[in-house]
Amino acid sequence: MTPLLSVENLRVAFADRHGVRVAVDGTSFAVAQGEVVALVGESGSGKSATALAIMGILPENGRVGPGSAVRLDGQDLLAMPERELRGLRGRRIAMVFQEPAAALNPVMKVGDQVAEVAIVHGERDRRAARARAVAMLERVGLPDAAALYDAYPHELSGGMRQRVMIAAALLLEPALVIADEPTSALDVTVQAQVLRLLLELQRASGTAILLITHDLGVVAETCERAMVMRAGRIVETASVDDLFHAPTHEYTRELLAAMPRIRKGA
Amino acid sequence: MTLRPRLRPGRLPARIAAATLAVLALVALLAPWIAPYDPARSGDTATERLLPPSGAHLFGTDAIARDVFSRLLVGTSVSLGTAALALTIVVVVGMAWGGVAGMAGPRTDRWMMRVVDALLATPRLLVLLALVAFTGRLSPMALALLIGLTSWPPMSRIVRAQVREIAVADYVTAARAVGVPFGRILARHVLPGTVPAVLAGAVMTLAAVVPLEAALTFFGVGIAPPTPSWGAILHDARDRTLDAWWLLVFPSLAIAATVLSVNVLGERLQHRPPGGPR
Repeated sequence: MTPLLSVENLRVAFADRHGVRVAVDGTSFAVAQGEVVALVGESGSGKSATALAIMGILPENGRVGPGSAVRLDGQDLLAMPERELRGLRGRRIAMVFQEPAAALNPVMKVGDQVAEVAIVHGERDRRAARARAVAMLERVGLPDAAALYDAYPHELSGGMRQRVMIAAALLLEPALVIADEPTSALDVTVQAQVLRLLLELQRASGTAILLITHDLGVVAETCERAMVMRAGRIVETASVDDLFHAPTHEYTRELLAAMPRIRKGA
Repeated sequence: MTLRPRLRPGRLPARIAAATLAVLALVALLAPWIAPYDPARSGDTATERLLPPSGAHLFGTDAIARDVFSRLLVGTSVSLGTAALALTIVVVVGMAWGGVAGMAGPRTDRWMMRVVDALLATPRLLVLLALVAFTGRLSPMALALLIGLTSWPPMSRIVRAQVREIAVADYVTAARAVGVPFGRILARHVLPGTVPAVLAGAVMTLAAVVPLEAALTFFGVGIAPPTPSWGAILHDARDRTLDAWWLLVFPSLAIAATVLSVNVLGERLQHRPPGGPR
């Protein structure tokens, strides 16, 4: 069976004043239909660059190297014309960003930002788009969704903003959602709620999630499988149980050792 | 006690400025109906020329016995209309040029900004004078077009700088991530964020084009007579500043009141605390 997403020998480099910096250096992995997989690594290990490259939304100075392939349902996204790719983004593949405060347009109503996903993917009827957005805002657990539609991002708390982002990303029930550190910017208590929500929606709609995080606690709670990334390469792939109990790679052991723990009697 | 940036005018001056502009705009719109005399028609030049202000002629009459009050009212409509049209051109062309340059790749951006540099380096007054030398004096519409088409470069710079900043914002990336096409990203996500800066730029532009029209017309290279405008009335006053003060004072007051009000309101807008009361 072909996996939902398969990334083959992905190489991403960024050019800046100081020259070319390789962020992702020959990464290969796959995500199956409906699976929740973690991509773990410290900051700067190339996790986010991987996500942006899969989505095809690298910044202007970013380039994907030759020989790379990103296949969704067997189709190579890197070889696809931008027009076609745009039709997939938001519909088949979507992304939740780290900073909901920055990833929502500050001068646009939050509901319009959710409804926009439906509109750019062919919904002609504005009222229908609005109704869908309201229903989705309700589904992500926002109170009084009809009134909240007309709120601006600054009127919402961090957790509520991230729920709006999730509503936009999952509105069209994409096959794959890339969640790039979706809880890192949130309070600890809100983190658990947002993770729970993501998993609920994932179970209900059969969406696969590629969860990008540096937080092994989050991985343990949510994922079946984890991939450990370091310096642009994946150094270990294992089930979460194996990863925590029998890490094979030296770096994974270091990561685990760096996790804060609450010790008895300390 | 509330902290307030030092240059931010208080509520009262801002209200007075807004009221002044509202009155001027109203006058501009209603001028043809409220002017007591035909602004272009001469009275009896033997008995009615250069009369000082009186009950019959509120602001007096000019050298060919026209009612200055009526000329000022209609002139308000001409001067402000010219300025408004020029400003519209500046905003539209400036936003389009700056918006595209800001979103474009480095090569397109570079040549577009070189064009702006070249236009900014050209002394505008000279260009206008040269053009008018060819065309002769102009209709208000043509003058507005000329002023507008030579005044947009600074606006395009403002817009481009803002767009550059906004284009790398996460919410623009997020919009791309859900498949929003380029044109819609520019129109719905990028350009709205430039509005506060454009507003500030528009205020500066308006404060510049009102005196520019008056100056050009005063020097005899702007709007063709007999169309009245603030500059045109000043033009008529140029040889008799001492014996017919009313020809000089009233249009000057109108120009000064407009520019001052626009600047006061502009300061107030610029220093509006983000997310605070509007």
